[in-house]
Amino acid sequence: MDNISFSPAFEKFEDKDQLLVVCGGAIERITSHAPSDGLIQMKLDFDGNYFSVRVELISQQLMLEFEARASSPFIALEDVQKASLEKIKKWSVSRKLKVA
Amino acid sequence: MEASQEIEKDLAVQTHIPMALLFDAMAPLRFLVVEDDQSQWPLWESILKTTYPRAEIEWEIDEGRAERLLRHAYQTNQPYSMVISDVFLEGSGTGIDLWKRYGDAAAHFVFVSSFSMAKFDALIASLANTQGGLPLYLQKPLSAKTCKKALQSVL
Repeated sequence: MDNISFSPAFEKFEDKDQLLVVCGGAIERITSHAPSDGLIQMKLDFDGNYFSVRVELISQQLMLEFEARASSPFIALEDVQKASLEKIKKWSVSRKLKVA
Repeated sequence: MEASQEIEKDLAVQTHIPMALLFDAMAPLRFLVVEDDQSQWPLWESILKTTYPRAEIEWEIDEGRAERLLRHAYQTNQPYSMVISDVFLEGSGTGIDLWKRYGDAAAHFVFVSSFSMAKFDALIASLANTQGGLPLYLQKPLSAKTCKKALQSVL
């Protein structure tokens, strides 16, 4: 997937295939709620102790950027997904109010 | 401030704090039992229900589906109080995969298997970063008394 990038620190990460699958699912979930022109990028890094996941979404109506760190990349991914979906939900409510 | 207002304020504090604590204490404890040997389920149900009468228990036999439950619980801010998982499960994933990936999504994680304690420690140390400490381990065959004692020591 072009919009997911792993730092070289993930070269020896044995669970990378499963992580890629879960990242793909998270991207799908976020983009399905985001504005249709949204471009999303996800970057994963490991500093030797903690994993970080960064997500950026850019669209005309909404921009978001979140980063989370955890000892498991799967948990960091859940955290950025949760934060992203909450922001999109707020945007969605405010958009509906403007339309009304 | 008038005396009646003072009394009202005091009463408000006195009623709010204990109520909040009461709700916390009344909140059910949520358990996820991941065990592919379904003959073990009644034993776990009996252990959990007698130790924690307000226990809510969910059951899974495979790692992938357990992952989905853990993710959902985490996303909806309703994390499990405890995950109890066998090491070898139905499907390709193991209980150790589940713990490595989503162990932090539950308050406590308990492994169950027929390995000896020493074998389990060696296995998990070779497969995962155990800097955060090893999870609780219960060796099969399970005794209800030992399980209750072990669970009560962490929850």
